[in-house]
Amino acid sequence: MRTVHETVLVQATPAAVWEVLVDPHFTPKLYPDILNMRAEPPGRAVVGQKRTVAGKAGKRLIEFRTEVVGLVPLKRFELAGREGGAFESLSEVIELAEAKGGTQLTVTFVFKVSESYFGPQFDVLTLEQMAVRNQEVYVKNLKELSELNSIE
Amino acid sequence: MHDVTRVEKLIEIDAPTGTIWAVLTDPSYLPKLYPDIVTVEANPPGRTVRGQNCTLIGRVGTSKIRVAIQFTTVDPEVRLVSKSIPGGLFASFEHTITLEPMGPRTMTNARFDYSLSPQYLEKVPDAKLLEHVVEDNLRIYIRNLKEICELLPLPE
Repeated sequence: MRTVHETVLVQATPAAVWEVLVDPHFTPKLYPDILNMRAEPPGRAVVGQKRTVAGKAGKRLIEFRTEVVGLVPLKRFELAGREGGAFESLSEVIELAEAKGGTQLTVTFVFKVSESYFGPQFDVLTLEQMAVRNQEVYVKNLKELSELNSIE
Repeated sequence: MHDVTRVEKLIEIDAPTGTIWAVLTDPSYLPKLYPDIVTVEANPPGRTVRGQNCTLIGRVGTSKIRVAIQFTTVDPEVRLVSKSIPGGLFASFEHTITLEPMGPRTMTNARFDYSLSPQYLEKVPDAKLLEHVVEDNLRIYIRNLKEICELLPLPE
């Protein structure tokens, strides 16, 4: 199991961060190696929403599946992996707390790459590094997108 | 009438036309094709059909911008045309992409003819930056299309 734990101050309200978190349209932009995502039911996150994610690992197409397992509006967003796909196990918890100057964001991502999905040609450590990098960039992108200002 | 800028690129993609068409007609790929597009909402949702509208939200620096387009020609695996709907970033915008099969590969031509909305340019903090960002995004589009279409499935 690998764990990524990050804390960042976002200069936006919890509501602005929450909007980005619960709208699946943002997901491909948040993770550099995710290409697109199907959500069932479509639309904003609800507990039980099942997500099928297409991404890339190097020059290969990959897929993994998640489910929204916890939602506390403006406070906590939780995803868990579903069987099949690139991760043997996956858990992502994002906690929001109002802070001076914006929102304190704490992201915890725990995962295990599925060796059987990738097969022996792939180096597990390299795959883990890719997943860690995606999660680190996710936090940076989530901050950036939440801080955008409307000009209309 | 505003000055129209053309960005055009012809490229060979190592994938069949069907693969490229599948990416082109799935609006959920648009944020991955244009580096500064953040989200897209298609109406009706799902695969592109003639008349489908897409609202794209992008970023320029720390500002959000909005682009609304409509697909006007959907000629399967041959030609896809989209045009801007008044009210967003562009005074005029037309994107034409044509595919020509070459065995297992595809010669792909992407052409953008556009002019930016003067009203929009007045609103952004840095109009020059906006012009650069738009041109860069259109140039990078075709490179990203090639990269995504050339991804391979995992070996069985």
